[in-house]
Amino acid sequence: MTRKDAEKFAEDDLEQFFQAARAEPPQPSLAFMDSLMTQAMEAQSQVAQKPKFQWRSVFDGVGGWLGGAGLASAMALGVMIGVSAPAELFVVGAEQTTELEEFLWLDDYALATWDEL
Amino acid sequence: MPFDAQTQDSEDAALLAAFAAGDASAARILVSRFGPMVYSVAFRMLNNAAEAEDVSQEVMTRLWQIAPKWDADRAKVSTWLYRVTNNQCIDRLRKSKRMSGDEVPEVADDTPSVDRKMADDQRRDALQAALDELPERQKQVIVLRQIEGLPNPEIAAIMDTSVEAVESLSSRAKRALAKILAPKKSALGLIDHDT
Repeated sequence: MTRKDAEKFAEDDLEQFFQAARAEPPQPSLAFMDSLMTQAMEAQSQVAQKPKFQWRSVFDGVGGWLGGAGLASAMALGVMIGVSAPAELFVVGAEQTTELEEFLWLDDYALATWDEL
Repeated sequence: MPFDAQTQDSEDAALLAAFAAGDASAARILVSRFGPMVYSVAFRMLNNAAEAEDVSQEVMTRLWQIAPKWDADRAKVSTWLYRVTNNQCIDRLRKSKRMSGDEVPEVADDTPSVDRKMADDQRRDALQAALDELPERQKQVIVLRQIEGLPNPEIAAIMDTSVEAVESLSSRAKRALAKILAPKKSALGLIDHDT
C-alpha cells in the first residue's frame, strides 16, 4: 500500500463508512437499559436522603429574625465586654479596714449591741 | 450556539436538578437520553459490548453523584459525559493494551456484490476494525467528529486541547483510515477511482 494509493481513497469513500456508522449506532440491550434505570433510582434515593447544608436552616434554628437579632446583640455585648479594659479590683487590706468599719458602722458599740441580740 | 441547542442544554441542567430533588421522571428521561449516547461512544472506542456497558455504568454513576452540585454555567451535560466517557475508555485501552490490532476482525474480500444493507454492515464493521488500529487520540477525534457529529470547539473541550490540534488529529486520522481501508474498498462495493 503506497502513499499514492492511500490518497486515491477519496474523502467521499471514507464518508460512506462514516455514514454507515452514523446510520446504525451501537445500541445497548434493553436489559442493560433496565439496569441503568435501577442504578439511577438507587442513586437518586441516596442523593435525596443526604440533607443539604443550608445557612437558611441554621438561621431558622436560632429563631428566625427575632432570634437572630437577639443572638447578634448578645454577641456584640460579649465582644464589647471582652475588648474593654478590666476595672481595678478593690482589695481589702489593713489600711482600708477602718474605713470599711466606719462605712458599715461596725464600731464597738454596734458590735456589743449585736452580741446582746 | 443555536437556540435549540441552548434550550437542550438548559433542559438537561434542569433535569439534573430535578433528579437531585428526587424526581423519578427526570431520572427516566436522563437515562433514556444519555444512556444510549454514552454506550454508543464507549462501544466505538472499545469495540466490546461488555466493556462498553461497564464504562456506561461508571459514567452514569458519576453523573448521579455530581447532579446535586451541577453548575450549568461551567459545562454542558453532554460535553461532560463525552469527556468522562472518553477518559474512561482511554484508561481501559491503556490498561488492556488492546491497541496492537491483534483482535481486528478481517472483512471478507471475496464478496462480489452485496445489497445496500449488507454493504453498510460491512462498512461499519470495517470502520470499527480500522478504528481499533488508530492511536487513541485519533480514534477519539473520528468518533466524536465524524460519527457523533460534534463541532471542533466542543471536541477540543472534551479532549482538553486546542481546536487546531483537533483539526490536525482529524486530518491524520482520516489519512490513516484511508490507508487501512483502501485495500478493502472493492470488497465493500466502493467505486474504484483508478478505473
